[in-house]
Amino acid sequence: MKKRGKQIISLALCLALLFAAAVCGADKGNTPETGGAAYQPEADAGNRQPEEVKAGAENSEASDNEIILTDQDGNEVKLNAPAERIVSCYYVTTYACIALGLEDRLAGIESKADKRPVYGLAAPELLELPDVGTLKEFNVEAAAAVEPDLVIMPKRLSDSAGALKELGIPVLIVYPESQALLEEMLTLIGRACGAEENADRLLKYYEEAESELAGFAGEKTDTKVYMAGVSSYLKTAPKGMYQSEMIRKAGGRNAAGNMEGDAWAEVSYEDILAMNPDVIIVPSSAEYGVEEITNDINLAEVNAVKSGAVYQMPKGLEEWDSPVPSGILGVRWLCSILHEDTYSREEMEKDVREFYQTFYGFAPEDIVW
Amino acid sequence: MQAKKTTGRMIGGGMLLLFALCGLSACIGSYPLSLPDILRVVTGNAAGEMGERVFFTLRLPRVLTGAAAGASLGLCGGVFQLLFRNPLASPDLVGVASGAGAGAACAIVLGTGSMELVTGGAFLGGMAALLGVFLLVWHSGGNRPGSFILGGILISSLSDAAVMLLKHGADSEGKLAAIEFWTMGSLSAVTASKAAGVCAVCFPCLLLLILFHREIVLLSLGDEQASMLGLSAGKMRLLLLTLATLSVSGVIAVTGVIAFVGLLAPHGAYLLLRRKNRAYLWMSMLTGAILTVAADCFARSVTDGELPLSIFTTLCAAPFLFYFLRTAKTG
Repeated sequence: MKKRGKQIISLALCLALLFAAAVCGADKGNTPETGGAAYQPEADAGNRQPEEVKAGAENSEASDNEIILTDQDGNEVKLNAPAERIVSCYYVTTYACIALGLEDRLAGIESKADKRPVYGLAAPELLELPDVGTLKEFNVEAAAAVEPDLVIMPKRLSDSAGALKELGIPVLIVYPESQALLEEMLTLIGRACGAEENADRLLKYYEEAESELAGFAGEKTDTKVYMAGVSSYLKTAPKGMYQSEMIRKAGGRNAAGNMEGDAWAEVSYEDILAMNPDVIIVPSSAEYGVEEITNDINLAEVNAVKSGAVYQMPKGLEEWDSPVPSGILGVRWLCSILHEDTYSREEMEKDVREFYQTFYGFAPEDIVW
Repeated sequence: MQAKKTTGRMIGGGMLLLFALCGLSACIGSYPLSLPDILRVVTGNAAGEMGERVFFTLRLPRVLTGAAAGASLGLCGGVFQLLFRNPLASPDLVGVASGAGAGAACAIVLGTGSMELVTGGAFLGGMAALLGVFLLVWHSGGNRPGSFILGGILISSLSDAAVMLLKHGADSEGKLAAIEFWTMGSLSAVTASKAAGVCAVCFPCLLLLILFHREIVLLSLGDEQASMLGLSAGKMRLLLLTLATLSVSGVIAVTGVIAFVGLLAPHGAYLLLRRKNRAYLWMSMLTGAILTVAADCFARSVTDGELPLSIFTTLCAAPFLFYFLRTAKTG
């Protein structure tokens, strides 16, 4: 009986301990110690849509060199001075650093850097930098080891941001999933690193290029374009994806424009036959080629296949069908296909070379058009 | 007396091995921290502030979480095997691991996928799976060990179907990869606050399970004998299973699913001790901790990056299972 009493008391004590520890743990998790960077999540940050965070790029600067920003996850980021040692955890942010002339400040980048031809062309020294892991498996210790004063990471890695903040390392979370958000990201990185002028120059280029391309398309914007997926052409970009925006800006109409969603959507042969696109686009990093589509007997009756209008985006540089700083070139490339009479292929190739020369510092030679 | 001494020596040896492995594990990682550096950090003479922060925020919590997770899985595996009187019983068999997996996948696909949400989802999923098993057993009118295992298999299948459905709806580059990685177990995301959470859940549960060792051993003799010795078998089994599930869910919620530790550790303990008593529970706990910390050392050393823990625990389990298969055939 005595023993039973002891056991009940120990149970009660342990449950009390459990409750207390849970409460303490919760408090600790909400107020990470950031050292150099103040982390003060806003009350409504979790409910904010990325578009609503836009004001973040226009935050006021505090005293002297101190920079206060709101990142694209709604967190406040405070830097004592423009960042001089940067860790980039995502190829899009590494591209952004190159485009903003910040490649010399990168101290660590994501894994598999050798798979990105642009790194070797624009800044070969990036290939020698410490590797901080992938989106699937970010290495917090490797990032801390280079002692950065800013880590730029995508929203998908925001869980690791907590660990870095606990180490006192400022983190800028970005979410470049549309052209508007890409531009906001470039502005934020520019401000965090004191490269506002370069960011403004790039944004101005986008504005001018979009208006120029709209002129080439004119009123003829009803060509149906099917954007095939990376792993299979039985996947397509629904209306919420960046690729849908790219098609619209190039003066076309997304064949899957009435499909909801913001990730690759699976479709059947029947769906493609019903869409009957005029043009089929294969991404540059696709695991299949144009021939596989044109030789697929199930797609023989599709307009694009009948007229030979199946194209693969250029290989050997960047993924122009994704929200990267050079994504505007994807719009240029598609516009030259849809409106060849007003915007020739030669003009497009010249514009592409000029873009890389201006913003990346090299003239590409090995593009597989 | 001699047997007691031998058992004591084995447990002492196991603790020394665990201590050595923890020391080794504390020296492995991308941030350059050698044993002398760690000694300087511990004695407060660290040269750099970052090294100290890395050690106390990442490295030490990781080692402690690995040991606590392994101890919890090992002890709970031993408890399941005794309670169900089935050498194949483990946290996976009663549906806890699958339930936690489904909870985490839900949080990744339907929620924001933040660590807090995934942890909460896994914990709730594990507890919901156990509740489902209890309801099935209660509804079937039986309270026999076999009923729990059948109920566990049913709930596991349902959870796996839910995970498949969620995987189908997840995008291949982001959420699907996150689900896959989470289902293979890793300690790479552990920080001080998460380690505190794991310890806060595990330690009280493990302490209580050890305190109830007599009841666990009595239940392993069968309900009738346990009742004859004055134990309310049904209620006690419910309490013990709840404690074990709470502990396992707390671990899985932070580390993901670490395969086979709950099955292998109790078998290792039995191989060493050849009896199932209180020492067997201690040894299961110790073996689980050694297995997990050793697997984590390999996970960080074999490649430039990090590999999931379950790859190593499964590789470790395969020869043991083959051995058991041969023993069963000859026995």
